[in-house]
Amino acid sequence: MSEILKVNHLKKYFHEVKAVDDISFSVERGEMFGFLGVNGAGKSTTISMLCTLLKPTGGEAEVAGCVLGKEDEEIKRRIGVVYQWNVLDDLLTVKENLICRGSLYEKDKRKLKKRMEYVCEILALSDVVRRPYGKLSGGQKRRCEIGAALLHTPEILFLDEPTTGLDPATRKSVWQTIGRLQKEMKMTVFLTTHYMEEAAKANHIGIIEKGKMVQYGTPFALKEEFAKDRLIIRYQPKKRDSIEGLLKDTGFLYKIKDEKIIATIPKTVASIPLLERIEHDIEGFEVIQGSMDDVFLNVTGIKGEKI
Amino acid sequence: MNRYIQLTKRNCRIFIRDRGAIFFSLLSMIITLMLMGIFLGNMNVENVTGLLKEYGGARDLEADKENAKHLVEYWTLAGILMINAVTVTMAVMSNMVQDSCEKKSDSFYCTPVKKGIIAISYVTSAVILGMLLCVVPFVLALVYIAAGGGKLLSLTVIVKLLGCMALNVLIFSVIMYLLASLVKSRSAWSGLGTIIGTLAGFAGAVYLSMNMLPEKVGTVLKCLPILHGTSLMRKLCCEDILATTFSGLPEELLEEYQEAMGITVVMGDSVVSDEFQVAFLLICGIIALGIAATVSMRRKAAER
Repeated sequence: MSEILKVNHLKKYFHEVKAVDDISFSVERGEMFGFLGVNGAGKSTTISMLCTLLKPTGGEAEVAGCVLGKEDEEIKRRIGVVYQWNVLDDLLTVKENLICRGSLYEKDKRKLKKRMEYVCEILALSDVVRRPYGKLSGGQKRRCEIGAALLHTPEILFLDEPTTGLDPATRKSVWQTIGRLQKEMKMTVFLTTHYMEEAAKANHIGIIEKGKMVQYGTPFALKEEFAKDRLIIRYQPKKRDSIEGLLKDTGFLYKIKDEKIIATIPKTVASIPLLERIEHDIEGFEVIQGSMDDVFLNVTGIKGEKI
Repeated sequence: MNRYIQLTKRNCRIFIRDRGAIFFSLLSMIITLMLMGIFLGNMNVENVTGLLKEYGGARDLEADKENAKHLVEYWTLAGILMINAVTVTMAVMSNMVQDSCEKKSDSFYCTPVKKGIIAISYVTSAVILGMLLCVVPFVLALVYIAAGGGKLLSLTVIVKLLGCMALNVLIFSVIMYLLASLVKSRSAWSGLGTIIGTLAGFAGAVYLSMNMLPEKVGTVLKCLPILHGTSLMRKLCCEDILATTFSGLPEELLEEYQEAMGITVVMGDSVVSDEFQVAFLLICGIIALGIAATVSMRRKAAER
């Protein structure tokens, strides 16, 4: 696969504030790239630079084969952006909104109409095209926003926190849409999100902190490195000491909280031999797999309270 | 071109579908009409008939009263056309403020459309809707005046008036674009709207005639485009009816009345010409455009 996005030592300084400080990474064509970071880490500033809205202080980037800063006009033709806030107009119908946005790229009205019909079909918007955008539900609005960004068939779609503020069911439906788009249109998706379970769907993940790229890898590799599985044991009141002794002997790290022993294990299957030995000393157990939440909290150094 | 048309269409549609915005953009006109209907109109008619009685010798009082009424109607019409040129363009330009505050502008700036085209589309939509909401009251007012027995304006005057309306609307659209590019929040814009909507009536000498204002205030008003725009419209609207109403009276009286009512504007010792007033309006528009361009360039430089 070829690289559709190449970022090399990209910087954006606002006087003394280093919003983006010398980041480098690349995104493969057709993949989903998750760009994570806490609020103010520099995600949106990076996207704004890649979308040509902000001029970088330094560094280079190539978006869909075009050099940032030199071929901005062409970059704009090749990207689609879905913002975390809605940008379509409440008082216009969905169709009017889509035609207005699409005509900023496409002159041929027939082509645009065809394209709009296709986008409405894959995003399940055909039933609402004549309705005012302002009267739609949150999920329908998000799908319209994605539709507006897709009308000119961009090579790369930037999704800046596309599901922020949506209820779980709507979030799921938006994600199904994004997944389908990626599969059917083979589109490169550049995503920022606060929901770690969403980030786990990406092919690669980059984590940015205080303007610097602190980690890059596949969700699997990052989980392997930064997320540990946990075994939670509810012990019988008189058996705590013997279980603790066994954990010490076998070299497992553990802590005690709310009358439960929480042991860190390298893999979920490592819990089987241990459980066999303490089978008669416990009242119950739970094995929890390391998640992207752990990766994010460990990488960004935020002390999260996990069970 | 297609992009420009689509963006202009979008701006117009958003305004037209917001009935509240249309109502409030016409509020200053409605207030003016109410004030005229309740007391200002009668006061102005009585002023004219008083003058005619005092200086006109033996006259047909009924005819004088009728002429004075139509004169005040045409004078008011010119005033509300000017007020609408200011308030409607301002209301339409709230689209731009809203786009900027709701960060919708970014979604336009990351398309291949040039920023200049986006800016022109805002101004064009303000011009189109400003013209529309001047022409509709204009036609309705002509019908009202004609129904009340008033003499209709000639076709030449109507065409000239439409040209004047277009000039006023264009200049105020550009000025409003400048103001919109300086304002950072919707509440600031609506506050500014309240101030401008109220002041427009005074600045155009609609609520109070020029002779009722303190001299210093009058001097300030003569440096603003509103008074000159209103004066151009009043000259066209009132030319015929003034001649009829003041027939047989000394020329000085007519000149004094025209100056007092803001039909003509005196700067220094002489009445300024139409050409001067048109040039003055154009220069105001060019200055506003220049400042708007400078503001935009400075912002661009600050981004770097």
